[in-house]
This record gives sequence, structure tokens and C-alpha cells, in this order.
Amino acid sequence: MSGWWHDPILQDAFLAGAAAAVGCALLSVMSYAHRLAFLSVSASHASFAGAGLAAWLQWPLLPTAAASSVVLAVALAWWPAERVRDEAATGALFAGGMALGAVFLAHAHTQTGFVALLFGDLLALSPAERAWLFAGTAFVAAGFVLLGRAWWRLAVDPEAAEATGEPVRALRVLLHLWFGAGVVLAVKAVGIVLATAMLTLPAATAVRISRGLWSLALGACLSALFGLALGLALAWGWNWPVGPAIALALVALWLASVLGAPKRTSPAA
Amino acid sequence: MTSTAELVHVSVRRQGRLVLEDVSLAVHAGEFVAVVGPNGAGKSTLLATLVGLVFPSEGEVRLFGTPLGPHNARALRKRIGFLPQASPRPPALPVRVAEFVAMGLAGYARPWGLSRQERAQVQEALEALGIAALAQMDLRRLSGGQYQRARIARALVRKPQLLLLDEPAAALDAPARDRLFRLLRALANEGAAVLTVEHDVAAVSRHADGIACLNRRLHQHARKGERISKRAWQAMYGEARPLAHEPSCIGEEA
Repeated sequence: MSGWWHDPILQDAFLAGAAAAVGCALLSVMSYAHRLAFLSVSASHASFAGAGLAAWLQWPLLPTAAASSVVLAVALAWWPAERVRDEAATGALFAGGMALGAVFLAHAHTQTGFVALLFGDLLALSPAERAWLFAGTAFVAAGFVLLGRAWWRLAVDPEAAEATGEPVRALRVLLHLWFGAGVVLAVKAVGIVLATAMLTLPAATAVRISRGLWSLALGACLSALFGLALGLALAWGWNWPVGPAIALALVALWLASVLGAPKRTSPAA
Repeated sequence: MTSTAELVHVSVRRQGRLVLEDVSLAVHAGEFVAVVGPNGAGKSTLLATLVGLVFPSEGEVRLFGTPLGPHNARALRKRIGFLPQASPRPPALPVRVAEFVAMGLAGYARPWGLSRQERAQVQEALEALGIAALAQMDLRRLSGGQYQRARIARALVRKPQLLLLDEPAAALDAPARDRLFRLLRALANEGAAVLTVEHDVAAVSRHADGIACLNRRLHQHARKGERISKRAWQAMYGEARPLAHEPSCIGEEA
């Protein structure tokens, strides 16, 4: 399966995918710390509404999809969590985003590329999309470096952060904005349906061997890159679709980390 | 003398229920005051009101001589060290004890990390709570008592002018509890105003300058050399006589 590296298409896919993987890994650190799996699913589904709108109005696809997931993510930051996280709201957000996208799409002149949007299309990226992926990763990395520690503190003890004068509300809105904008990286890599794998599993895989924020970020990046390489190898060797292959590789890595982790020692007496 | 923290005829309603009623209490620089009372007496609400997490329905809160309101709460909080009521367990995240304590510093969020002076402050706080040896340990591996000491160290690390602690001695064994109260006494002697919520009246009375007896209303603010009155005990705990562990006088060693 290692012969995939000599295939120029897969080489290109790996380079673009590596950028997306690093960005998604950094997002996954905050997704894990702040328990944002819900947001990752909502925002990726909302991006379908944006993509449908872009197709209908003939706007650029990725920026419009990113904008729609940002709008949803920021809206979720403002709404009370207890109202958003009930099951009815979950259904409304997931189904609403997808349904809206489908309605927009029905009015579009072309529906090319929408299956790829659902399951990823690393093998068929245009130069413009490649540039967007790199720009998106740079944005995610810059946000992580500048605000990562503030977000990390907020995750560790939100009550204490608020009580000691941290701008908790603003930090939360920025976190959601950053996350919503970054979601399109996962959408391009593995598609809307499987985006959650890229946005949660890398950090969940690395957390057992990490000792702090930066080691968790590094571990998540390595895990995401390894998952990407393994997924591409599976796609090349066994003719699997690339997006699902990457998602399955990430799931396998996470499973291995859970099964292979040493049993947690009980707290000191 | 201007008080560091003051409640002036404060009443607080939460979900339609009167939790604090007409409470007036002041803590000055150099003073160590403990708030005691039964469960549900409004002790935590009193601290939350002083921090500006809850605003009174009547009355006024003053911090450092300034009336506290939604417009200035965040700025005033930066001068406070606050320990919320005990978290059930450490967060399931990889955080070392020293980093956790450093999170109490405003500079923690800087991308380039802490200055040398801030690192020294962290070390000082770890030593003050007797957990310097645990500095590099993962927070998830601490016992309940060790975690509580790390939380207290985080509240102290910025050397605040006002220290508000909600049951800091919870989960601590007797020697650690005594060491904590001596530390709070020393901080007050250095000029900080310390207000702590506590259940062990006898233990804290030996070190405190005053005991505020709360059960929705403030029934007594017993000062150094005074006794907690039987009426105040009755209003708090429904007992006609003082509990067996009642200290003889505030500020006296048993």
C-alpha cells in the first residue's frame, strides 16, 4: 500500500490534505477541551446550506460555505447552551442545514461536486480550493497561537475564569467564530457527513499521552497526519473512497489509543 | 477607613426566592473574616454577589470603595482572588499542577507564556500551599485534597487585595486545614482582605478577626474577643445551645 506516495495525484492530495489535517487537528484540541462535538456536526451541516446557496447564486463555494457555518457557530455561542443542546434543537439544526442546502441546490444551474461535498474530494481540488485550504489552515493556526491559552484556561475552569475577570463571553464567541470558519477544512477533506471525525478524533487520540496544551496540539497534528496518510494508502491500495478511508483510519487510530492506553492510575491517596 | 469589600443592606432574589435579606457586612484590608451558617444559608450567594456574578435586587455592593455594577464588574474582579465552591473533580484534560496555578495570572493567556516574575509567583503559591513537589504532576492524578490546594494556590497566585474563598478547607485533612488558616491569617497580616466561607467554626475562629453568622440574614458579626451569641446559633442551626465545637472567643486558641 506504500506505493501510493509515487502517485502524483495522491501526492497532491496528501499535501493539501496535510494542511487540512493540521488545521482540523488544532480545531479538534478545542473541540475536545470545550466538548464541541455538537458544534462540529452543526457547523459542518450548516456549511451545506451555504454551499447550496453558493451554487444557486453562483457565488464562490468554499467562502460561502464557511460563512454559513460561521453564522451558525456564532449564533450558538450567543444562545443559552441549555436551549441549544436539547434534542429538538439538534434535529432542527442538522436537518435544517441540510434541507436548506438541498432546496437551494434544487434551484441551482449545476449540481456538480455536491456528492464530493458530502464525502470529501481531496483528489479533485482546484487550484483556488487548494489556496483556500492553505489560507484556512493559516487562519486556524494563527487563532490557535494567539488565543489558544485563553481558550484552554476557559476550558479547564470556566467559572473561575469568569470570576477572575476574563472576557468569557467574548472568548466564547471568538472560539465559535474560529471553529465555524475552520470547519470547511474538514468538509473539503472528508466531507460534511464525516467532518466530525476530523474535528474531534485527532485530539481524542492524543490526549492520553499529552501533558499540556502544546503537546496535545502536537499529538493531534501527528495523529491527523498519520490518519490522512493511512487513509490515502487504503484508498490507493483497496480502491476505497478517500474521505471515508481517512475517517476510518482516524477511528482506527482512536480505537488503538483507547485499547492501548495504560490503565489510568487512581489518584494519589 | 474605606472597606475593601462591603455589602450595604443587600437583598438577593434567585428564581423568585429571597436568598439574602438586608445583609450589611464590611471587610477591610488586613482583616480575615469567616462567613458561617447552615447549608442553603446564602453563603455562596454572598460571595457571588461580591464578585459581581450575581447582582442584588436591593442594596449596594462596594469594592475598593467603588459601587459594583455590570459596567465595572469585570475590571474590579481582576483585583480579586476568588475560589468558587469545590469542583467535584479536576477537568479531564492534560494540565500540570504548575500550569493550573499559573492560570490564575492575567499573563497566562499571552502566547509567549509567563514572565520570570510570574513564574516565581507560581512557585511561591505552590510552596505556600505545600504542593511544590507536585508542580509537574498531571492534575488528573491528584487526590481531592491536593486538587483543592492547587485551586487555592491559583486563587492566591496573583497576590490579590481581596481574597474570597468558598469553603477552601473542604477536602483538606486537619493539618492542611490548620496550615491553610494560618496562611490566610498571614495574608491578612500582610494587608489583604480575606473573606472565607467555612463550616468548621471552631477551627477558623482561632485565626479569624471576625465571624459573620448568616442564615439568609446576618444574625451577628462577632469580632475578635467576642463570642457568637446563643441567639445567632439558634438562628443559624436551630440549636438552643452552642455546638460542642464552638470556640470560647473569636481569635482565641482552644
